[in-house]
Amino acid sequence: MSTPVRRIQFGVFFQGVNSSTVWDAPESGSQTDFESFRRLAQTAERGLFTAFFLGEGLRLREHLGRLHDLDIAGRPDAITQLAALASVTERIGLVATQNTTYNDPIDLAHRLQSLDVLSGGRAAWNVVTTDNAWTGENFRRGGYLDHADRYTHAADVIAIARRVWDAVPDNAADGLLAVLPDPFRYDTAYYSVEGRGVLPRSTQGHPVLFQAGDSAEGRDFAARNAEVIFSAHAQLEPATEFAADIRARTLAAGRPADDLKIFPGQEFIVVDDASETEEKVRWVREHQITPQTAVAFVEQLWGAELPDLDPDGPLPSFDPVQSITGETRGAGFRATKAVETARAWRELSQERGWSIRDLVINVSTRRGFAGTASQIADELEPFARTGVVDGFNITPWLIPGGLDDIVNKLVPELQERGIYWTDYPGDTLRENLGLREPLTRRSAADVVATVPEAATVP
Amino acid sequence: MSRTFAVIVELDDDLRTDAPASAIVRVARASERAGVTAVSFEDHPTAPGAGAGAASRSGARFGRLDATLRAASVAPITSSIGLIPVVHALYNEPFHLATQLATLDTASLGRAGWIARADPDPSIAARHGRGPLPASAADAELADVVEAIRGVWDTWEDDAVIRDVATGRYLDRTKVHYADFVGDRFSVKGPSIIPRPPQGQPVVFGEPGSAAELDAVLLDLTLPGRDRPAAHLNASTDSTIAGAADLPELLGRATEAVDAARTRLAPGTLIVVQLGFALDSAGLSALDRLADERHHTRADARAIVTGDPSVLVDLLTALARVADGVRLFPASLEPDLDELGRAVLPGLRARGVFHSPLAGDSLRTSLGLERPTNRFESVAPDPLASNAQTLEAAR
Ligand SMILES: Cc1cc2nc3c(=O)[nH]c(=O)nc-3n(C[C@H](O)[C@H](O)[C@H](O)COP(=O)(O)O)c2cc1C
Repeated sequence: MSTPVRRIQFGVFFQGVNSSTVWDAPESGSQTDFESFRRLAQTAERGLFTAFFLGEGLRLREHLGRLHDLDIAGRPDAITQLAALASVTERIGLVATQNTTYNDPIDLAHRLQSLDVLSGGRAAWNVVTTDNAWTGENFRRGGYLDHADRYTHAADVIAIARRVWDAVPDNAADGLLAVLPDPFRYDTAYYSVEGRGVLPRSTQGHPVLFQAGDSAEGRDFAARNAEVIFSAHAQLEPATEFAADIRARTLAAGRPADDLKIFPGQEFIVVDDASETEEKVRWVREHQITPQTAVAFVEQLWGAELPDLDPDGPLPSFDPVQSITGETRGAGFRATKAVETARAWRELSQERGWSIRDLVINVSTRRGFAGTASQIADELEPFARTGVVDGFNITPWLIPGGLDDIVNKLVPELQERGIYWTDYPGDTLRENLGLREPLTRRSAADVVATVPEAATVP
Repeated sequence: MSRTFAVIVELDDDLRTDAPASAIVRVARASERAGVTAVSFEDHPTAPGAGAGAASRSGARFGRLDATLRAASVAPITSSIGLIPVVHALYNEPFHLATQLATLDTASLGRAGWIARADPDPSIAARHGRGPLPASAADAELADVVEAIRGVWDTWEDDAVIRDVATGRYLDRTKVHYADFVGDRFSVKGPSIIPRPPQGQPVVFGEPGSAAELDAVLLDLTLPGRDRPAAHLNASTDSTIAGAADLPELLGRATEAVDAARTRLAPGTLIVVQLGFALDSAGLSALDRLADERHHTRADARAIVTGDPSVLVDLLTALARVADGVRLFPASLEPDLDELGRAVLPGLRARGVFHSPLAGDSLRTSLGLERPTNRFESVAPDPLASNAQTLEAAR
């Protein structure tokens, strides 16, 4: 039996905070003007991207107790920005990363549902669970949550959101409710709230749930609750392992194995001529990891300023002054065991003959896809054949032009090979992702009926 | 700045449509074409009239989509009108409100305002898992929220993004500050996660008696002691209907109320009078329209001016001498918005009391408000540096 060819989908992750966006190139535009967001979203839609994705970080990053000044910074509120983008796009999904710890669940559910209705059923919520007291200093509800409880707490928040979204029946048409739903109470260890469904359902039922988190608890949480997982495993081998793990967890959660779509974050560097690839990749990496960024990266692990450190020289010969890294430089660099990591880095650098900057480039940047459109398409074909990912969430290294080559060159190449769609299959994000009904709205019979189909998934 | 009279129209959406987004876009565009200064978006996060007894009411209307999001959704498809959502500010996270409003201001290129509301409705507190604040504490809380939000907006100086290739610095961290707001019930560390909005501070509207720092206050124009012609009105409102004959009385009341408010307000605070209206349109008299059940009115306890558009022109022309603007509540959106654009605003322009905002104007510019300096801008501009620039320019 021949393996059915699947399609690869694309999302775009407008980073907004990170060293991965090259800001010092002449083509680099504003990182915060609405125009940059509009251009990227409309380019993505021209390329038939499934989703436009905004991250979130609720405190400005700090480096050794002072504001971190090397990376791009200044992100809009995701839901508000996506509401603005909803009226200048038509089909692309609008994914808002929203934290479960520092939001009131009914308020958050109301805003997400508002976006979903406003956009004609294109909204999604990427559930993240940052829980530290440092971020909490910006909120009424501060550092109240133990890290170990982040997912039981998040499950509570999602349960409340679903109560809000499912409160109004589908047949409430024409803006009139036959009966105003009764208010509901929700009382658990974390919440004691009283809500009421007041909005019509969107055309996709309710917002699609994404999840980003990589621990075992995070994966189980996704398997129980999410519809798309935003993963960090984009190379074929780790992606294959990750998919097997996620599918096992999804089945264990009583869902069809293909119920949870997988979209790793990934960077694409497209060139016109294969001979340019190496030089272009080096150029991008050196603009992402400037000498100052390389030094700051080492300082972050060492927990101290290292003013005399030469980015082209070796790592410090002494050990870090801290045992564990802190919370202030984002989720990618939190709670790392400092001394062990420093020793491993030192060994790796000696073995490979790497300077500090080489090392930082290698440990902190992604191994993205690089080459001509045709070479990248070759690399993507095995993903389409095996179905270990459903798509890639592209993190452009340039704003706002970072999708132009992908949409103009790579997408047509993939379309020619039959592994990328030539039109949006539907109007809602749920349809375009090929998702079933929201989990709360399936009968047990629906789930059983879909299992044989799902069983063909490798 | 020259004194201008602002005409703000409330676009409370009537979600009796399967496509609320296209309805919002349609009325926002119509308002911009009409040339109004700004549009506002009412809000109530729980169902309208969701109090006791409402549960079994059949034919109840849906609630409203979040007002800030409605305003944001029309930001990129309009270019001159101000966008003013109502924001319930007692229980939400002030940090989130600050970044949401800054995002609205950024997406609209400086056209955001907001109506800071302290609503006593206990259902709003309950959805946040809180007990309602006693009335005595609510305004102090609102004042704290407004202060915290203003502080968060200022945490980035306007020129904090430097993109200095030589030193590798994207930000000048000496120009990004901690808000360090500490109130009775909450604190906010800061800085913001989004740069200072284009207007510096989006325009803050509120109630005249509030302790909050406001740019503009909203003052209801009422005609109390009137017999309410109940037959003409939706039973849930206490509005009174006013016609041409009532103009002198309305104006007298407005003058009194504005003068009284003026004495208590910080100098420079704008006073905006709130008024319902229903105009004769397409051969149908406003009173007949009001009597028609399908056209419920959205004004509460406010005078509704009815009649020929010239009645409203006369009233607003006179009001322009005492107040800084008007927030109009159309009894039914489409015909009244039409009449406003067709007859009322041209009439006001002809009398020289109103001009429409131009594409690219900020809401502050349209209202005649200065762009505020940043509270964290500690260092005054170096006089030597500006001398040097002058010398440079003179060369
Ligand atoms: C690919 C990916 C993207 C993430 N993006 C965000 C984000 O934008 N904002 C955020 O607060 N956390 C983000 N996170 C952090 C996770 O939500 C989570 O808090 C963190 O990974 C800890 O959970 P874990 O232990 O299950 O991994 C991201 C995580 C991953 C794996």
